[in-house]
Amino acid sequence: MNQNNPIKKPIHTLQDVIEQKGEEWRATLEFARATIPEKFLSDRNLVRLTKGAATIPQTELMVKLLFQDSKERPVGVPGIDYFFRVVDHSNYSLGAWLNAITYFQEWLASENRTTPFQKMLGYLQCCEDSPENKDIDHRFMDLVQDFIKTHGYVG
Amino acid sequence: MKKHSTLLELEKTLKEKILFLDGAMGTMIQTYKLQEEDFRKGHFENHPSDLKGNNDLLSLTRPDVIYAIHTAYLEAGADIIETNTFSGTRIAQKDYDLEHAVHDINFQSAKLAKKACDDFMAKNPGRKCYVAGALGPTNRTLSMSPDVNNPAFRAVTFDELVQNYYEQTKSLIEGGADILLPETTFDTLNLKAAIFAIEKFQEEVGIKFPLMLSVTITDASGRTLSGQTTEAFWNSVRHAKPLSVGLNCALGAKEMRPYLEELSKIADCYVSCYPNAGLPNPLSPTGYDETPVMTAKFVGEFVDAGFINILGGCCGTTPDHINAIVKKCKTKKPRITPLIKKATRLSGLEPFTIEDTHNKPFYMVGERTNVTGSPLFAKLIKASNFDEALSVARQQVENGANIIDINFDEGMLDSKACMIHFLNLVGSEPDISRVPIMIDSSKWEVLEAGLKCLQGKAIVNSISLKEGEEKFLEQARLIQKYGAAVVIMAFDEQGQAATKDEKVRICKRAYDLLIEKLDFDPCDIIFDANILTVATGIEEHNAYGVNFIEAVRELKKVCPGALTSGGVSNLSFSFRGNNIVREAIHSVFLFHAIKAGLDMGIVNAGMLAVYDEIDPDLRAKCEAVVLNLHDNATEELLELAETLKNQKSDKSETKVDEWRNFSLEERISYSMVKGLDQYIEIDAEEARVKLGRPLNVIEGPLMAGMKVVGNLFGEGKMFLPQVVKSARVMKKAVAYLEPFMEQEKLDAVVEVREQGVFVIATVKGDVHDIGKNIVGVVLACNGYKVIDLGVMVSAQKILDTAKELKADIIGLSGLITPSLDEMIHVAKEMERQGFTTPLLIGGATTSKAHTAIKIAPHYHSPIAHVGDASLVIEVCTNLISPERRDEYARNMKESFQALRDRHANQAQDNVLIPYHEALAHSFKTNWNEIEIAKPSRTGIFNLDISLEEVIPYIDWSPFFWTWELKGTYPKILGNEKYGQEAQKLFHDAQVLLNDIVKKKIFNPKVLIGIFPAFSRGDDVIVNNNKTLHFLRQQKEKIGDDGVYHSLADFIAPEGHNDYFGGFVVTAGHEVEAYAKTFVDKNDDYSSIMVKAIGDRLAEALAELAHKKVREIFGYGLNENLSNEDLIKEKYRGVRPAPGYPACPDHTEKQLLWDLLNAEAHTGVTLTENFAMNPPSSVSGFYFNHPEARYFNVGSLGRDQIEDYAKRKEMPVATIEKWLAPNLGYEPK
Repeated sequence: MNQNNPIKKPIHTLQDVIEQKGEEWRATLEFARATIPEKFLSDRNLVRLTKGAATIPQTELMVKLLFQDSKERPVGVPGIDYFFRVVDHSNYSLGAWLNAITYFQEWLASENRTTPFQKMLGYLQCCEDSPENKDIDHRFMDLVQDFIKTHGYVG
Repeated sequence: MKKHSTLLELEKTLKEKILFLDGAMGTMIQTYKLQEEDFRKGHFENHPSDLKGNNDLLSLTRPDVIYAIHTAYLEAGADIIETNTFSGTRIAQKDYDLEHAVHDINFQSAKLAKKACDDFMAKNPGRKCYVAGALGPTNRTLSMSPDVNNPAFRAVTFDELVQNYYEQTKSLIEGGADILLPETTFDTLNLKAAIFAIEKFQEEVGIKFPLMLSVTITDASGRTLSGQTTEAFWNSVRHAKPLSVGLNCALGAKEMRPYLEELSKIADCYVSCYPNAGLPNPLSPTGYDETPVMTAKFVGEFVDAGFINILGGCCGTTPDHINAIVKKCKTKKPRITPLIKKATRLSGLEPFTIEDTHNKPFYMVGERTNVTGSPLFAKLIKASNFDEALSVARQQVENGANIIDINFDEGMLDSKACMIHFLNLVGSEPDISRVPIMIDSSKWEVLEAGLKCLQGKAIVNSISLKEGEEKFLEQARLIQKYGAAVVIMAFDEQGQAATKDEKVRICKRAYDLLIEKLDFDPCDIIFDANILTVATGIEEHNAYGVNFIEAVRELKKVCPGALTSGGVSNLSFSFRGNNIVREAIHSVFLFHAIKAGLDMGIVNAGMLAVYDEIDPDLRAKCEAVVLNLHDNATEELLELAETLKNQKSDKSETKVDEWRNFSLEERISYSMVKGLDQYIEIDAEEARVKLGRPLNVIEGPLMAGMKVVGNLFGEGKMFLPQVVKSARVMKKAVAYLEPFMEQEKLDAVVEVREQGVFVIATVKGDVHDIGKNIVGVVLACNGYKVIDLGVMVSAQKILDTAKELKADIIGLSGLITPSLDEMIHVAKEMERQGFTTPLLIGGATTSKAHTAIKIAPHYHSPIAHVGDASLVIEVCTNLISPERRDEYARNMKESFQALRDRHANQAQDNVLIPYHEALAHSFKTNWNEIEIAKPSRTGIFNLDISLEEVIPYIDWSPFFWTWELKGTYPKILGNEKYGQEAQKLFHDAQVLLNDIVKKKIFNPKVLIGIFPAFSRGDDVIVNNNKTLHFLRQQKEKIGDDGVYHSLADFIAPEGHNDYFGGFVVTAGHEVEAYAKTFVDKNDDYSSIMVKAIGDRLAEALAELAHKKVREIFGYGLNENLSNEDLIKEKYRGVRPAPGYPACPDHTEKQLLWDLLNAEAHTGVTLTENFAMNPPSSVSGFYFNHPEARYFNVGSLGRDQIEDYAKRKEMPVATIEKWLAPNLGYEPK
């Protein structure tokens, strides 16, 4: 656990992200900008997302999920804000959440299924709240894996 | 109303050719890579908040860009371009604090688009182009609550939306828009508000403008976001008589096809379609899958199939897409508008169509959601029990009602508020709202309020000519604008029609007025010619039944297209209390009325006799009354009614005893499976005599019966409450046989054999035992000898007993977190003392992972975790089987090892910020501005609360969870799988609870303390002499909030006169004592039931006490929350309990006890692990801050733990022990 991280890092621009993470990120960020209006994914939130996203595919996956969410839930709290709230309410990091989402999405794809983004988040929250997770620090993805195995997913 | 010349022109053009819309505006704007200054230029330079992303503003700030996009689309071949006004309402612009710019946005956008068209047409004289004023759906929804915890809440009202759309419509038309296009409709009620606003505008200017409607089907479910199917949507909005209706957005053309095909078949206007360019794709320059050629190919197929009149593109489409579409489809023939058969087309989430066919069924309108007709519904509404009232509506639909009638006309109710609240709740229940709603009231304001809540096409019940033609037509015109059908009562200025002629005359007059003056669709007219009560003893009432039937026959002739209906229950009011006769009268009446042409009736859908199955004598007498066949009809039916009452009870007695004719074994099995103990002793005796020895009875038919029960439970065909009832029967039989077995022992005949000996206990420091008791019962049912040592049992006592009785298995149970440590201790002791007995771990806080990682390493013999009672038999059977034990234990060990490995290899990447920084980013309150609630009393006091008072506050859901029936109350009562069992269980609970209340068996206690307090850092200083200690979140936040919560933030610092509270409530020690009386009678079922009810009462006491405390603080006096709202905690303030996520340290409970002198006042004690005894007790703190909330403290850093230990003056290691699950680091 790193307790020495500064609390407020300066907010980078998308250009900063490209400069820090590499030119290969440009297409991904442009894809994001072309796909989702700022109302549903502002530059500021996109930057936050890329900080937690380990890989380009994870970022692109999130853009797709947020796009679908913006179509399915054009009103109310935008998907990205809801997602950040969920992460902040959780005891797992953004990175852990992105890994869990990737795992869950891959599982859905292997089952030839899809699900609404916010429903997926609800399910993952249940995984975190599962009785298995009361007293032992589990890796989030392991919990998701176990939960799917034990309970499946109806959605 | 006069049609605008453009409307006439478009109607003509669309008959001849396909017209083309433009493509995406947003996608094109993205290509310009505009910056914040582009959104401000010339207009909003000094606007305080960010404007980037508010694309509508670009019509003002960068008109050159928007003009260029319009022109590009026109050049690509678009005939209609949309204004850049998707978010041009006050509601949508509020996000940017730009409500004042709405007129300019719409006016200038329309003007700009018009200029682009005019300039283009000037250059291309052969082309005729139009501007469609786009009206987006806004970012609010009328049919859904944004708050999942409050389904009746709406973030916007119908009237607000009408106002918004009216303003936008006016500005668009003034700016030069030719067409109005409300689009991307995800909630039909929003669209209905837009239509209402447009009609209002059109009425004012006296011109009908071309209106295009476009809906969004959100996904493969084929429904709108608000849940309607395509046809249901169309039924809801066809009253707008639009130029076109169509689909856009969310889906690509390929996915849209089935919905477009459906719309094309049912719409009697032109059909449009402008899909997305497929799905998002990062590799495409536009971000979407489809190239122009691909999109053109898909939509070209729509045209070939004859689906389309207007084509365009939505998200991801560009001028190239439009150009490709135009090239592909320009010369193709447009769809021909089909002739749609006349019918009454209603809708809920699904369509409901009544066609005039020969074999047309009779349609039932559910009547039980009517406070005037259903005492149960009235009672629930008066008690604000809307959740249960919803289940009445659900039952109506489940029982076959095609429509449900909803009425709140009762003097003591605020009918309008009830109607709005209930309809909003119904809107959140798809299994109810799938059918159309009949809004029923004698008050116009209630009817209108209801119309503003329904996205489907509803029926208004009713209006009449009672107040004259002017009022009648005014109301009818509004109903038409809201898009509803209407029930017309046979009532005029002279009063209610009773004879056939009066009924027909009044209805025909109303019909002619509606058709001639309002062009009302006759299919939307439903006549209720008054079903009046017969057999009242007054001679002139005798003909009421036949008068109605004959009036219906005549109305079907003279009012073509109109339907007929009536409230059937009125007919039989004279026979109230005699359901057999009432049902028979209704069936006979309907039999004749339907033949005469009655289309629908308001009936109890679950209570109708089948005409042919009615006793012939009864049927004949009912017929005589209904058809007024002779003067003595009423007398004869009254006489017969008396005898029928008795016949029913005789029949039911016979049915109950039928199973007593089964064979002995079958009777025993039947008793076991059904949980019936009435005859078990008689049957056990018969079996003992037959089989010779008592043991043979136990091992024979009784065990066979239990095996059936066990198998059914294992297969999920029986549920825990049934199993426990079965065990009660078994125990009763065994208790009967025991004296005989004792005698045999004395005679040294034989030793009784058991499956295995199981020693079970709740560990030291813990008092919770419901789960343990259930496991014990299930094991006993399966032949185990269960030695239950009770609660708070020390490790040594468990082990001594196990040794003495040669236990085959030891089971440990516990509910509170500290019990986990005690279980580790027992495991260590077992290892040290050389035990090899298998150990079972269970209880709410235990887990397989904890067992594997924390307990199993200390004990090398078999150890298993049992998640719920249904699994225990399988585990135990394997553990004691000589053949399977080793392999099972090996597998268990391997799975535990895998869990340990996985845990050891994990690398958590949680970032914890330093404690001092978390403190710096605490939840901030301006204590000088906030109103701190002042209590009307302080100090320690008891509240006198009776059991009767507390019952309405019971949250029943956890009661069902205790019995392993998952779901929430009251929905669980209708659960497809175990609803029936849940109902029985609930019934048994009510019986027991009533007994407890009536006999005052429990003696609840409520202790409250309210004290002056202030916060200092994360401590709260109470009464200037006690300090309570709280913890603060440290996991780094990523969202905009950035607040690190501690409960201490909700108390003001010194100098602000704030208050802190605490409470301890208990259902009393009597709970355990009363439960024991049932154990003594071998009735585990009732014993567990008593404890489960005790727990519920304790929780309800806490809820009610909190309500009273909020009243003491003043802010709770005007809450006006229903009981469901209370259960969902929709009030100000929180009452967190020590040991739970917001304050996870159990040791703080002792400080609360000291503060309140709780033991002396309530008799509730704390164990060494801080469990409350008696277990049916609840305690916690009160925080009154308006924004106080629950949260999870989560992982804590060493810096905070060290600080906390210092504040509490306790060793760090002790704190680490109590807060082990929260440590974000490995303790030294």
